[in-house]
Amino acid sequence: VTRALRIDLRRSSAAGIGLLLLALGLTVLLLMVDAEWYAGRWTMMAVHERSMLDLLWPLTLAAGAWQVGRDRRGRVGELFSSTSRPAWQRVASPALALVLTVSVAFLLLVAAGLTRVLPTASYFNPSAVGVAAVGLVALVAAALLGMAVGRLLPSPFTAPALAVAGFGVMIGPTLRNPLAERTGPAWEALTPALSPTSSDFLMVPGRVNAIQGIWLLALAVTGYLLLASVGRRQRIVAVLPVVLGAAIVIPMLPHGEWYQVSYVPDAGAQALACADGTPRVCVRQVHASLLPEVVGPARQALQRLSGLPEAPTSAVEQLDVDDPLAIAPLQPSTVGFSIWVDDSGRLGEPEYLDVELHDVGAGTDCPDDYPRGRAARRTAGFLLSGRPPVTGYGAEVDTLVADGHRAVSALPAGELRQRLSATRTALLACTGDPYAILTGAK
Amino acid sequence: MTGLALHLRARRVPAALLAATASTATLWALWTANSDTPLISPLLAAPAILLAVTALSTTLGAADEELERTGAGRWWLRRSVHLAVALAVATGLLLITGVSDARFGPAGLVLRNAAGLLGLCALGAAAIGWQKAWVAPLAWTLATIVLDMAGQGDRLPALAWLVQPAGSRIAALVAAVLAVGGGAAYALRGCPGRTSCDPSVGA
Repeated sequence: VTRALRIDLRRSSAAGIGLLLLALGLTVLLLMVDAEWYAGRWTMMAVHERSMLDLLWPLTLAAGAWQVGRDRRGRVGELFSSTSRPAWQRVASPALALVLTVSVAFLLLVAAGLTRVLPTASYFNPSAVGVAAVGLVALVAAALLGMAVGRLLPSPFTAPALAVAGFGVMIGPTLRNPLAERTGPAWEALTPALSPTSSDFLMVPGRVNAIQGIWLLALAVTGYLLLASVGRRQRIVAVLPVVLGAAIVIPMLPHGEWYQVSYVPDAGAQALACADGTPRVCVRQVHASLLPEVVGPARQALQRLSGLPEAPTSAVEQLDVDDPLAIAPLQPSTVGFSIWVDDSGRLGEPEYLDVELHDVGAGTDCPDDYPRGRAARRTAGFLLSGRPPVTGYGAEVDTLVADGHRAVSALPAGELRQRLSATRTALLACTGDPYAILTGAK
Repeated sequence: MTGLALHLRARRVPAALLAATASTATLWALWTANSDTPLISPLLAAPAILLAVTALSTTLGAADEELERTGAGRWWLRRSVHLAVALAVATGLLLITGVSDARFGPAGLVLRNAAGLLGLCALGAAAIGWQKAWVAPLAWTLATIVLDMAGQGDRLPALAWLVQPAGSRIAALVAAVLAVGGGAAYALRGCPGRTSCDPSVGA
C-alpha cells in the first residue's frame, strides 16, 4: 500500500486538491478574518479556523467525488476490479492520499493562524485543540464521504452538485426556515459548523467538541465503508456507523440555540492577572501579556481621578458587556476598562482605552440615561486624559461629546474641576442629568 | 440535421439539460417551501445559476477532442454558437420560473451572472478540460456567499460581483471580462486534447 500511496500522491489529483484548499483557506484567512480577532488567543484562533470550513468542507466533498471518478474517466474500473485484491484494499490508496493532503492543508492553515497566536499568547485552554481537531476530522469525513457519493452516483455533475448540497447543509440552519426551527440545535450540531464568538472570555465545552467529533468520525467511517462496499448487504452495513453515531450523539445534545450552547464562560481566561505594586491594576488572564502596556496609562488615570469624590483606587479589566454572564455592577472604588487587541497581539486602540480609564462614572450606564450619561462620561474622559475627542461611540453620543467638549474646554481649571466632581456624584448616584451638569447644556 | 443531432449526442446534451433542469427545480422548490417572498434571494440564485451553468459546461468537450478536430469545419464558430446557446438555455431555465409565485430575477442579474460563470467555465474547459471546468466557478460562488454572509460583500465588489445588485457597473464589468475572455479562449482553443480521456495520463 505504501508504494501505491506514493504513486497516488504523485499522480492523482489529491495533491492539487490539497494545494487548492490551502490557497482558498489562506485567501479567506487574509481577506475575511481580521487577525485582530484572534491574535494572541488560542480559542479565538481555533474557532476562526473552524469558520473557514463553511467554504472548505463543501469543496472537500466535491474533491472526494472528483478523485473517485478517476477510474471511470480512465475506463479502468473493470480492469481494476479483476485484480485479486478485496475492494477495501483497492480504495485504500486513493482514499488515504486524499485524506493525507486534505489534512496537511488544514494543519498548515492552523499553523498560519498559530504564527499570530504563539508570540503573544498568555493563556492556553486545551479545548482549543479539540476545536481544531474536530475541524480536521470534519475534512477527513468530507473527503471520504465525497468519494463514497462519487462512487455511488458516477456523473461529471456529481462533484459540483454535491458541493452545493453540502454548502446548503452547512449554512442552512443560519438562514430562517421551517426545517431549522423544527430540528432545533441538532441540525447545526451535526454539521462541522461553529459560529465564531466575539468574546475572548468564552470557550467551547468539551461536550460540544465530543458531539461533533464523534458524529463526524462516524460519517468518515461510513464514507470509507460505502466507498469500499460491494453489493447491497455491505452497503447496509456501511450505514451502521452513522446510525450508531447518531444514537450516541443525539441524546447528548444540549437544549437551546446552538450558538449559545456552543460557548460557555472560560473561568481560566477570566481570572485576574494583576501588576505588582500599587495602585492595583488588573487585566484578565487571556490578555495577561498586555498588562505591561496597560499599567502605565491606568496608574496615570487613577492619579488624575484622585481629586474627585469617592476617588477610584484600582483599575480592573471588565468582561464584555454582551456576555451571557451576569456582570456585577462596578464599585466606585474601581475603574473598569476593556481591551482591544491589534493584529499582532499587542494593545490596540490605546486612545479608546485611555478615555475608558478616565471614566468619572462607575463604568456602566445608569438606567434610562443613554445617550446623555454615556456622553457625559466620555466627554469627561477626553477632558481628563487631555486627548482630543474621537468618534466611534455611536452617532448620538459622538455629537454630544463633540459639542460638550467644545463648550467645556474653555472653562477655567477650578470651575472644570468642580463640574467634574458634581458629574461624578450624579453618575454614581444615578440622579439628575450628568451631561447638563458637566456642560451646562440642557 | 443529422450533424446537429450527432453533435448534441457527442456532447452529452440530454443528460446536461436534465441535470440543469433538475437542479434549478430543486432550488426553486426549496425557496417556495421556505419563503413567501416572490423574488428569490440572490444568495440562492447564485448557486442555482452555478449549478445550471456547470451542468451545461459538461457539454463543452467531446469524449475525444483530437479525433473530433480531424473533422473539417469552422470549429471556432461551432464552439461560439454552442456557448451562446448554453447561455440562452441557462438564463431561460432560471427566468422561466417567472410564471410561478417564486421567481429568479431580475433578468439582467440572471443574465449577467450566467454569462460570467459560463465564461469562467469556458476558460476552465479551455485550460484544464471540461471535466474540471466546474472548479473555479464553484469555489468563487461559494466564497462569494460566505463573504456576503459575513457582511463583507460590499467591501470587495469586484470579488463579490455575483451578489451585487443588477445595476452594479463593476459587477457587469467583471462578468463581461469573464464572459468575453473565457468565451474567446474556448472558442479559439477548445478543450485540451489527450488529457481528458487517455487512461495513461491518469486523473
